Amino acid sequence: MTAIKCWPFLILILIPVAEAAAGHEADDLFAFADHLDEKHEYYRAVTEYMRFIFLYPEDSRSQECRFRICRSYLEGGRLDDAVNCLIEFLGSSDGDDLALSARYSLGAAHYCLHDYPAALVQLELIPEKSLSITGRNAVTYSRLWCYLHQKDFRSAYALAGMFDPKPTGYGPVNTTLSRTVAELELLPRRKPALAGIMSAVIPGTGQFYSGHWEDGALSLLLNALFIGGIIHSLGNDHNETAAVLGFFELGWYSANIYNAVDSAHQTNRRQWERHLDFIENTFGSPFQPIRY
Amino acid sequence: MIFTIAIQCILLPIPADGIPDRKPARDMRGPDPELTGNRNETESGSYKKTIVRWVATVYRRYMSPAMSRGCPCHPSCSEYMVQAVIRYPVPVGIILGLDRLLHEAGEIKRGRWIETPSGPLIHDPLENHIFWWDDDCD
Repeated sequence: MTAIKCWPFLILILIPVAEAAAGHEADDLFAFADHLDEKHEYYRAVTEYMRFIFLYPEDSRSQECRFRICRSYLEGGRLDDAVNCLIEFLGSSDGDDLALSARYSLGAAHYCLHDYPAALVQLELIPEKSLSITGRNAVTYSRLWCYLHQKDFRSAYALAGMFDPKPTGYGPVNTTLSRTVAELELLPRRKPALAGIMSAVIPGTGQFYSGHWEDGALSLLLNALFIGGIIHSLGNDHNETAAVLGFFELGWYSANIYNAVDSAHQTNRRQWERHLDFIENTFGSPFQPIRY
Repeated sequence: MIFTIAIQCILLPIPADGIPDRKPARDMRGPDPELTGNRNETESGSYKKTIVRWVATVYRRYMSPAMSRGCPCHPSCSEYMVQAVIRYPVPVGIILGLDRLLHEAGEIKRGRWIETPSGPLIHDPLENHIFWWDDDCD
């Protein structure tokens, strides 16, 4: 009888205890998901964040979990999923810091997908007033990289002049970003069409022009051998041999022209990538994490 | 080289894949239906693929071991040509394969070495030599 009378009191005591326990469980779950994220176990982290949202939909951190799911997709390389997730997140957010982070991350996802115009659109939608100086510089620097990939040197140069990032990494300390960007535009480029024409006239010369000496020498030798063989066969009235050699020479001659054009493109690309690597090593990577 | 010649002899008479009456010819730079999982493959494309694979198998099994120490690149020159011929019209594929033979020596100096199950090889995929097809002409 006494026990029955005590029930209401027991319940009153147990409710806060149960609530506290549930709160602890939510904290633990959130911390565990974060831990997985830090350990680069992105897809497992996504599962834990989803579990958190499912179990505690009313928790103040559930919106943050939604953002972190998108970020985990991005970090884990599922870029299309990240883009879709971030677009959905931005549609339901109300312009707070998380929304800014989401827009920045969406820019990063587009950037990783080599969709530089879309990345620029997202970065330009981030209101500069709501950012710290570091954040503003990170956004500007990421925009500059988008322009560089689009080979829009004028816009990149203008952005480089807007701020003066200190060189990081192993680059020379007195290098300025504006000067490096200006140098990019002035890089000497091999002309693929010229290389192709040169190799069409004298096989191998287009490759020499592009600095591909081995390819050029091999091309020159092979074409000379086949053409020499054709001339020799024709001179000795071996027309059938000349026809067979001519058939194969056609392949080598065409490949020689293609190789010359490709060599020029390869040289330009290697040079371009070397300079981008220099910028990245000196001034840092684009889309660095920012704090607001 | 022998493989290239074999491919050149056997496949040149085969038309580029695509039967105009049934569907338009695939874009020259379009992806390989096998790679993209597109099963609407034309009959001539399938015929071409079977022959190329067969020639490649014969070459790799009986001729390549007797002729060289092996290709220093990954994918190997024969695989590179198979990919090129399957993916593009036969003459274009052959030119790409011959281009590989021309630039192979230079790649040893310039290329990026990667670790593969058959030891360190130079990474030289087909994509590295067609990336500029989509660019504007310089």
